Amino acid sequence: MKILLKKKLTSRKIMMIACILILAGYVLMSGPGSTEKAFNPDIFSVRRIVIAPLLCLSGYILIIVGILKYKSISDNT
Amino acid sequence: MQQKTFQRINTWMAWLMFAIAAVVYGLTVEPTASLWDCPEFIACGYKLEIGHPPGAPVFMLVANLFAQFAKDPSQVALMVNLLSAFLSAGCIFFLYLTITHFARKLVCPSFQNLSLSKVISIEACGVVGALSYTFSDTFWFSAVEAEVYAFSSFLTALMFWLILKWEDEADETDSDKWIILIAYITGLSIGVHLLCLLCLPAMSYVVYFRKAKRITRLGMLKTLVAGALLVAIILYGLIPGVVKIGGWAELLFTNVLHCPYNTGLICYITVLTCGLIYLYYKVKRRLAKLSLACVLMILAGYSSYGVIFIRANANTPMCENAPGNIFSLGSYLNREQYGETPLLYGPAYCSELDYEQKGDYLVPKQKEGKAIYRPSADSTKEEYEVIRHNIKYIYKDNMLFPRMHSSRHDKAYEQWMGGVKKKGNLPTTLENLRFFLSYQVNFMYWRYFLWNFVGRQNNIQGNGEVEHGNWMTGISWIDNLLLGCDTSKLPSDLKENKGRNVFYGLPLLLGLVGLFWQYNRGSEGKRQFLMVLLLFVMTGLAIVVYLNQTPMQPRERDYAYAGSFYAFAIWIGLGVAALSEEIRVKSEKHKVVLSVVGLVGLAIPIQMASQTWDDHDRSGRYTCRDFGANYMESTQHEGNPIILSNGDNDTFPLWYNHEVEGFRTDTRTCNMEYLQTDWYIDQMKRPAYQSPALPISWQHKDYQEGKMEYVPVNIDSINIGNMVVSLKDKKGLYKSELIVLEMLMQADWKRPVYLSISVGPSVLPFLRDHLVLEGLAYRISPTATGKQVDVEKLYENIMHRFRYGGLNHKGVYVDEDTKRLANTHQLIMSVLIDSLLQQADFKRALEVCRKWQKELPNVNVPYTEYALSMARCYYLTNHTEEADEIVNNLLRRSIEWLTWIETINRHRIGGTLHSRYEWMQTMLLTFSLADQFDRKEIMNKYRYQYENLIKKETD
Repeated sequence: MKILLKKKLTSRKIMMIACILILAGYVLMSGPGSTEKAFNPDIFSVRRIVIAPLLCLSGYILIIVGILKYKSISDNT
Repeated sequence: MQQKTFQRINTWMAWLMFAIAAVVYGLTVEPTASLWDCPEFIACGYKLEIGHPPGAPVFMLVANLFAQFAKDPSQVALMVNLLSAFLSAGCIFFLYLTITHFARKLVCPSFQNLSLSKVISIEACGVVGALSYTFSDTFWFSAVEAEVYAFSSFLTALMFWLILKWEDEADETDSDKWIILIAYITGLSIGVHLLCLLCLPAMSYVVYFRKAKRITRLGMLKTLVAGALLVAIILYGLIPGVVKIGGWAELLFTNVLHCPYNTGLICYITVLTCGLIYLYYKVKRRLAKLSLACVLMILAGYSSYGVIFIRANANTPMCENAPGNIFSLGSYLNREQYGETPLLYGPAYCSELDYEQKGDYLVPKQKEGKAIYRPSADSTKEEYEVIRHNIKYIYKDNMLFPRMHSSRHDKAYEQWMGGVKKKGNLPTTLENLRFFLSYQVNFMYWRYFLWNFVGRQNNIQGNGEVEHGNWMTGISWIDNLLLGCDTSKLPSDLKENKGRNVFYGLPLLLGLVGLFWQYNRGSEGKRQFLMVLLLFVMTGLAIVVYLNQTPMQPRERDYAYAGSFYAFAIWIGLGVAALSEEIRVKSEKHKVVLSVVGLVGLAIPIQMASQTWDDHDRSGRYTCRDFGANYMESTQHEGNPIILSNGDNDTFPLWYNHEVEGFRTDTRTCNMEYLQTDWYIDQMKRPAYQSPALPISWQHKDYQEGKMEYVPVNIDSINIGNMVVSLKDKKGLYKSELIVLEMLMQADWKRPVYLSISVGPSVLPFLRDHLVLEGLAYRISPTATGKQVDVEKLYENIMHRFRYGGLNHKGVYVDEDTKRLANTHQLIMSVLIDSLLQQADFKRALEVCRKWQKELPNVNVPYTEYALSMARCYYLTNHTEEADEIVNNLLRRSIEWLTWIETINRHRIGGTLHSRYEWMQTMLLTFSLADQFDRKEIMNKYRYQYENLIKKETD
């Protein structure tokens, strides 16, 4: 019983980590933009166009891992 | 053989196919951006900017990852192209596994008696099918450039293979994960290209055949409906619906509850996700749980559009449709920029509007549709306002299944059809069907299919004429009948065209053999046949029906149908099994016979590769980047110039140079088509890199969507500084033209504005008398009278600033679009030579000739009549040999062409009259130049044929 629960948590855990990664990625991607007054070079900062998309992508790929670890629907609480 | 051993061999072979495809595509990939949409996609991936609707956020994220491996910005394009190469190899990997899965089930249904010869047979199927697809025209084209089609082919192949994997393990307890994974990939594919949805109906049959207790005709019909319904629900329900409800949430929270923008959106997403997760854990029944899990996963993939939303709010320099609020995002996703085409019922191109009386006037009847909301233009308040309502015009004449629907293409329809019989204001049903079959189905689909599996005439876009873009077999008597001409007399231009690929119909034949064999291989065979057929039809003919294409497309559209060619490749693979199984029945010597069959089968993809390699190897070609840079280098270095452009190939390469390589970021490209939209004018009013905001004093509310789209004009001229712009022939001005005039006025000649040479004369006609040619662009000048040439600047640009993309390397592949751009360079070179000769500057004119022949050698960029300027210069400077070479070349080729055109059937020659006119012109001009410089030998050589052709022309 405990082993089953642990396995099930793994899939769910992975999904949660994936969600957090994706949200973190989107948060880091956000920020002020260019306006009519000035071009904002920060929109192309390393944080916003390198780290953020990498986090998002790893989250989206992690979801695939989470699905593959998914055990059947029928035996759970 | 044991099942486990077989599966191991199978997997290893699949990886071998992957490796072969990866190497082939890796070697032939374009080292920089390619033409059309690729520069846009590369910039979108590298810097997370927003490209054309509906966007491809998943592609952006993965391209971004690949871009990180670039050593410097000039390698970014190569990395994204390698992404396409890599994913295409992945598609081949899954194609192999798919083919062997089908073959094994037909050759050895229950893994009993899996002899070595059977294994060889099965593996040979996979190899031949996979390699035939690897070397096929359409798939290879998309595999070596940065477009979404390689990615979408990969996802389609993956999804189809996943359902087969599920089918294998359907009895095991955790087989549901494959279904859920498919749902997730479907969701992700929304962020690549919607083409992937089209394999769902075929997949639903896999489920039906595996799970149904009894197969009945009614059951199969129900499955078909269910599959189609699934696609429809995702396409028309889920994708727009999710966004629409988000819009309602925004209206509620922002307009009614006065919360800041996007509060409603965040609450909505949270509620939706938590609600679905809660339901998932609450519900007990397995099917319901599975369905909820699938819905959640589709939404999870769809959530990738967060990238688009967030980056649009950053106001990146490239930000099409500015989808930074939920309403703009909705119109972006629905591709509203491209308008609607009627499908089941609607007006035809000749339908008349219905009018009604309104007071003293007759106005067209309109139906007011939904309200269009946008954030308030007033930045002090946070509220959504209705800027206008969707208007739909009501037509008096409507018909079922209108295939000739676009009023803008009326002449094109009539020309293709050779006249359209009408009943009242509508084409007759028969004429409608004739267009559907002859153009949309035959010309714009089957022709592409036959390109891939029978043979292709050349790489020039065709519109029905005999000489361009048709399919052919390579067997001369068949082709003579097909094309209605004598193919032995083809001009060398067409004979040597790299896009001429002939397969003698062998891949098609093998595929048909496989198709028939599969169908006749018992009930399992019939089921497989149905699945592959459905995939073939959905990703082929169904798209033809859905798109309702108009004639005069800007480019060939074969890339859209790669999925159906994938399906056919499955049949090609199975053709090998057909041959080997037939032989197994008749002969005893299994292994020998099978090896022969395998070799014969292998010969087909190898023969294909021998034909298609030369027109898909893009290595060493940098023309897109360099020619884009040349447009910008045509402008001066001071003053932050603005350059007005028109379409894709004179805009996106410039964007690429700006966004990815940071070249000439002091300039600004301004596309005339987009300038008609409010979001683009907004972007022009923002500074970008070193380019200050464009001088436009209007406010957003002045040029908002719906306002000032077309303004009638009743004045003769306007003054801009001391330049008088004549508006005599203009009945009205479009918003884009008004903005250009506004820019010129505000700039007050302090900021140079240029007009690309590629912009057609119908755009901004009133500026045509005020242009100075300085390169690939004209400077709009207040002091110019008529079209002038700034010889010094033109010389400096052509000789020193311009780069020529590696066209001087032997063997580089010059496709039709690249050739056209190279010809534009030749045009300005000829203008420069003529101007220098006029000034008696023979020394520099000769230098330009030398530069021309060095950078754009005849072997890669064949001479056109522009080269006559070069010939004239050589004659005037006593370089008669070089001049004779050009004259000989032009006379030989024009006579070859005209002689061949004479062999074309009278009733098919209509489309070729244009080519005939052009070559006649070339021949006349060249002959007269030879005459002018008394080149008796050349003239005597060609006099007989020349006079014959003139006589025929005047007869």
